[in-house]
Amino acid sequence: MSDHAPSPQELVQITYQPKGSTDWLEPVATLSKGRYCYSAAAKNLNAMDLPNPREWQPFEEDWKLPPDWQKIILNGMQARLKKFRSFRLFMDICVRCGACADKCHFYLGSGDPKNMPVLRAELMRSVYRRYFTVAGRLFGKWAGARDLTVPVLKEWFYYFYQCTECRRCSVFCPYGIDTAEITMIARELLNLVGVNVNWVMEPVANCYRVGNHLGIQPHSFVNSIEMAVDDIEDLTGIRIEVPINRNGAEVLFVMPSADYYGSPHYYTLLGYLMLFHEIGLDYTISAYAAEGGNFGLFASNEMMKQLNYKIYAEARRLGVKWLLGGECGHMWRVLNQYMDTMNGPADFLEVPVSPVTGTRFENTRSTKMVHICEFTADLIHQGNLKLDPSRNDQWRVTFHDSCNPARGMGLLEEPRAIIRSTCNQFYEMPENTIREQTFCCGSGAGLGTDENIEMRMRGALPRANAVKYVQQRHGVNMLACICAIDKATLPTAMNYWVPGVEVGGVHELLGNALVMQGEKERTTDLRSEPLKEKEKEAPVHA
Amino acid sequence: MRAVDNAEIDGIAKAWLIQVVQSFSLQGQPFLEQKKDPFRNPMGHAIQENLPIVLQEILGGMNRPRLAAALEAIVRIRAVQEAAPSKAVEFLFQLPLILREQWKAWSAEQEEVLQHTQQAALIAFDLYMACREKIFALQADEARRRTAQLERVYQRMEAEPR
Ligand code: SF4
Ligand code: SF4
Repeated sequence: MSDHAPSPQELVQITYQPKGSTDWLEPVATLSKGRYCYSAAAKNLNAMDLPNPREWQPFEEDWKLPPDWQKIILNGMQARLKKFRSFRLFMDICVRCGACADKCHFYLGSGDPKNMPVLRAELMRSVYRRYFTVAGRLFGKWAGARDLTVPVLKEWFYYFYQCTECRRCSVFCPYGIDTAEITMIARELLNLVGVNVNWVMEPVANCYRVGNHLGIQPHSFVNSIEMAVDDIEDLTGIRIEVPINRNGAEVLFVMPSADYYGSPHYYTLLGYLMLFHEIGLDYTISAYAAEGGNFGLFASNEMMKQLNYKIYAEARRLGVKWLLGGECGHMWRVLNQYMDTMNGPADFLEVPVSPVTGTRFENTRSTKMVHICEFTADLIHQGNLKLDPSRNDQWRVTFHDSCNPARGMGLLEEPRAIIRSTCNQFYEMPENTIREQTFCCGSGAGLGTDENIEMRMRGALPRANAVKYVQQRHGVNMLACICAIDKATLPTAMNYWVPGVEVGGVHELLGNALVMQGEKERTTDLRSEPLKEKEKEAPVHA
Repeated sequence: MRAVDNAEIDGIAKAWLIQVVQSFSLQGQPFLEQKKDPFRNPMGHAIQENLPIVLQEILGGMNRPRLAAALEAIVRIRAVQEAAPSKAVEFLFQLPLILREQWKAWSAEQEEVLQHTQQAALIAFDLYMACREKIFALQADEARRRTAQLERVYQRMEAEPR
């Protein structure tokens, strides 16, 4: 009977070559709810002096575009083709080989062909062809070109906000085409006519005015740190000091604001502070450079530059020697890849040297900023920390490589080295889902909002599927990561796809294992959950 | 009920899979091509793994926990792809049509299979609702976590003597 069934080859023939058919040139007719983010509120655009502030929503028919919106976009495109060589190259050189097609988590979770990176890029390339190439001008549709119409613009909004700029596709492209950069340009162009999302623009505006994503005043920042100091005292019996805005410290430590406002991020903060106390680091945190995160990255390069400015400015003001940065993904994309060219050179700083081990971080010679995982892994490697991994025995851990540190800066071994030294039970997910090939959380690049949850859950499926594998095989119950967006959104994804797996930071695990001088016997972990062996002992004393 | 051997189940499952793939409005190849690697194709893998189990149970013993687990794996994916429950569980309603086609004669015994399909559909509807409810709960939970520590800060500030 099975003979009657067609072979896979006979089934729907997918084509990675949009030239073969022109169906894809038709823009999608409806934007489905749950798959887009709401528009940016006018007040947030006003705060940043951005064009076309108004009240509108993607589900409305009329997006209230400026009358000459088409001209604005095309001029913007032309300017960027001139300014960014990579952009022109990416528009020209794709051979539509399809190597990237099934590498995007949104495609794998949705099956929507326009989520294949190659087609996502074609959405813009088709317009490029129409207005900037001879063939496109002459042959239109037959050369894969299409007019820039309102439906096409809406489609750009839809699909370029279904890309988390994770760059997984670029790993597989033989030409190194980075669809993430095409998405970035698309969003810049959309910004020119006031088509942007609130989940990006509100943090941007808050950050610009008050200094952090939530727009919380500096005294609350100080209160959070005081609370962390109290919590650490409860846990260890040690009263630590956390310097804020201290002039002349050796190191300025910068972290994403979620570390002091959100859960489970906060436990990572406790871990950092315990570590700094234990090694006697001469450091300060700052109430001005209190947000390492930079949602400007998801809006435009100018915005990113503007928000990043405060990091070096504060380092200069406080007279520190070098910078140390906490666990965050997109923050490191900005710090590692763009900061020194945007707001540098940081010639007033010194090449970072660990005051404990003497290691010189040559890799940070230009930015002068060290990742906390590099710093801690070095301390462990040189035997400078006393660790008791059994205090993490409640966790069977796997590690999620966050896109930016993994693909953007090659930070692959350091977090693993820390986990191996602080946990007895560590299990890797399958090889094609980690390291450079890691699957995105599905919520990065400003997509991590409530109303977009269906899209996010689809995007998280490939990641969750790999977690499920190690859960079933090894009983994994902790997904460790080094990104604030991961910590905010992966718990939701885990809860949906793989219930029973918690999410935590690598420095939370470190804080649990770190044996501090003069500490009292620990009875709980940083989450105030009883330690594993204590649970066992309890009945004896009862 | 008429005995159905493995080869036959295989054939029906294949025919069903094709319809499912089409009704998901997906393009089929990535599904079927990458059978061996569940990590390159999680959705295709879940459907391929679980559709035959659903079929076996509908044609055979109707072991409810086994049936529900297999249905859940598919419906959980559909619940974030289709807001309409009718679309999300449509695949179960395709099965009787395929069986009719394959078996030609529709004997009284096979009415039982039809009943099983209906029961499976009811289970799938419940699972779909549970997934959607979970999504709403998760949204609320995420919003709470976002400022969980800040709320503690505010509580401490209020509790402090002035
Ligand atoms: S892998 Fe590169 S060249 Fe091939 S289709 Fe994708 S973007 Fe184009
Ligand atoms: S950058 Fe990531 S999200 Fe964007 S198309 Fe590539 S794989 Fe998909």
